[in-house]
Amino acid sequence: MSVLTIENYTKVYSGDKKAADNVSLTVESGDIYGFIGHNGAGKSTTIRAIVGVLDFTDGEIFIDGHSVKKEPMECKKITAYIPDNPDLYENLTGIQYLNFVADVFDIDADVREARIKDYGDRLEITEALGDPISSYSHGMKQKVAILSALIHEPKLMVMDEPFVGLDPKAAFMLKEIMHEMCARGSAVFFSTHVLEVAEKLCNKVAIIKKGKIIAQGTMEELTGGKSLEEVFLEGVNE
Amino acid sequence: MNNKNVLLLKTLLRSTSSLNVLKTSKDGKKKGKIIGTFIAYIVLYLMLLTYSVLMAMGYGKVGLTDAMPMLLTMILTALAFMLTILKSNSYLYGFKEYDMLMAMPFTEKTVVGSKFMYMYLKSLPWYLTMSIAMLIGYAMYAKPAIAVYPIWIVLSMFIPVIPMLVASLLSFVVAKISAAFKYWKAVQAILLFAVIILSFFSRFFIEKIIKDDSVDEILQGTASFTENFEKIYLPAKWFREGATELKISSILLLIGGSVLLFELVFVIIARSYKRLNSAMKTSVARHAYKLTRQKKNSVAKSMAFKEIKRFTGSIPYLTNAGAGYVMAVGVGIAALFVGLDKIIGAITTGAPVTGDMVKAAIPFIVYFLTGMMALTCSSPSLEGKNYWIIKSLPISYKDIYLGKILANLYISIPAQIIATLGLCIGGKCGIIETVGYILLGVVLCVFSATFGCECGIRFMKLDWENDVEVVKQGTAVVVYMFPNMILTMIMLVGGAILSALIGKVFVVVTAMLVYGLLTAVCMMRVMALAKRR
Repeated sequence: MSVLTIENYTKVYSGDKKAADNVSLTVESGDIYGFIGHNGAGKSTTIRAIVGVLDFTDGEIFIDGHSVKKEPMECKKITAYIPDNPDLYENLTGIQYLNFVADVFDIDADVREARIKDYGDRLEITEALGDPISSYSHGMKQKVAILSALIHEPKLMVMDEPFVGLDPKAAFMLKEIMHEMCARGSAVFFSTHVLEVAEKLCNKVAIIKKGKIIAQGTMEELTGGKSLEEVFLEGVNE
Repeated sequence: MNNKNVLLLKTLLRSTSSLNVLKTSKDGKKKGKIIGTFIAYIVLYLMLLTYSVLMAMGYGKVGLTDAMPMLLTMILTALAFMLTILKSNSYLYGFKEYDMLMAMPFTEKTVVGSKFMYMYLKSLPWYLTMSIAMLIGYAMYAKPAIAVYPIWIVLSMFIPVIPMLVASLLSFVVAKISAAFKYWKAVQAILLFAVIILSFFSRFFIEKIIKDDSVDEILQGTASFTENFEKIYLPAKWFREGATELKISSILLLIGGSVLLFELVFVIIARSYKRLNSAMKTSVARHAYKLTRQKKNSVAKSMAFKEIKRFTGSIPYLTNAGAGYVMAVGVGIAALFVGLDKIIGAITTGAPVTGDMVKAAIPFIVYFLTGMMALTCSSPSLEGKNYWIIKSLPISYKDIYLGKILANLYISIPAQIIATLGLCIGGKCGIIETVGYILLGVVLCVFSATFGCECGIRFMKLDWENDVEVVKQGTAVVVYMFPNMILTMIMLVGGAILSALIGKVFVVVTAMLVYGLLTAVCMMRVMALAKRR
């Protein structure tokens, strides 16, 4: 079952620069989908359009059958987004921020408590949740952002460079959580520059170059015995 | 407002509240700083309250008691409109946490409406202080019924809403027009400056309609004055009738009108909100740069260049700190065409001043505009999270702050000179006289930049969410503005009087010496403070 469907998505910036050009892809339930490309290839622009923060020029994006353009609230309720550099409310404590997000998604007190405890302990951030976010390191902020994304158990988790700044244990834990989500029927779509991570973690990958998808499919289809790094470099150097 | 509006508004207020940090932080130094800032704000509110009570008592003494509700409406309306024009774009669009909020299940209307309410609540204490002061003055002379007190206070909270909504809508139109351009930032800055200047000068036009030319007539004909303003601006009538006559229909009209306009404005804005933000959050990258021969500069000059790029790259910074310079140049150019007398006549309607008296005050008239804000008040705090860059570079603290002062002077001195020249030519001043005024103007600019820098370092705040928090609401800005404005007013009036009594040369030379000395003191403090940072 398709959780995310992108159909001929095109984004043209003022003037004539095409940041995304006729992008189409499908993320199925249970997929861990890697989105790779050079800096400025159009990864973040596509991700921001998926989560409904950026409007787009042409095409359609569906999340669990709902149109991002026409039913944005339905889409947002079942999606979680973790940006590459999360801008959290710095003067709130971690727990205040998590409660804010839980209130937005209307999560019961018992459920939120259990989830904060579970994911907080696994990401080793629970003890710091009483401190203001302004006192956190980049990695700690990233952990709070991940925790806030998991609080409503989204059907689709969209992440932009999620492993940047995470310590090795937290990175490992995040990968585990991604697998658990997919086992429950959700899907994960994330961008990364770390090809080794994508190769080991993802079952599907798309490569974007200058706003166009130049290759996509299951890892086996795409690599055909080569490494993902070789395939990627061949693609972008063409 | 629905539950999500309330939730978001509550979180926005909490996320910028120092009290929340005071409650949760373990950093003693940070807590001490918050308490200090809190006390400083209480002192400022008390100062404003005292000044406003004295002003209200003055109105009562000259028989303007009945006009007080209307005067309060006029003051709050003008302030709310101007301040909102200056800050609404950075509050409502392209803010830091836009992606985070828009990715959550909030509607566009909820996000932008809550941001507006946040902006309103942040300025409400200032407006309430003025309202309470006017109420005290009114109560002393009108001896109203007990019910007037709470109703006055509650209704006065609604006075700023309508002008703020109108200003927000105007800013939205400006943003929408500019978003269609490739270099939207430049277009938006130009349009905003045009709106600010038009609003500033429209004051004189409106006064002309209402006042029938002279101050005396206002004092003698309070009833017609009130009537005229009320005819132009109905909320003033609703407030007066609601607060003083306790007329239910007027109370309902003021509250209902504000709520209805809120709904209407944000339904309009929400329709294009995402498109507007998409345009504003992206910058044009041509990727066509070719490396050419590069130039070597001194550290201070390089720092100054960086500061100017920061100034021109941020619309709230540019419009808030740059408005005075643009207005000064505008006044200077206008004086070339209409002459000094007309300009002064427009500002001091009915006041007993002659053209010759005013000439010695030219540098202060210009400085009133060029010095009302110093870039250096905000530039230390605006380093924000990038403060580590200059701190980790092998630059002396002296060069860092000299660079900031230099950047301020690169902008303020040309504006001061152009405006002074315009007014001197318009006022037919002699060459030596003009040179004297220009030199004094330059000294004033150096003082402004240095004093601003002292305030900027002393009240440096690096953990902000939005440029506006530093540029418009920063403690450094408030601490700079108040004494500087009072001193300028004293020098302006004193300069005019002393030049008539003793002579212009004495005024210019003395002022240069006094401000030169003050600048030296400020510079020493800047260096001492910078060393500690």
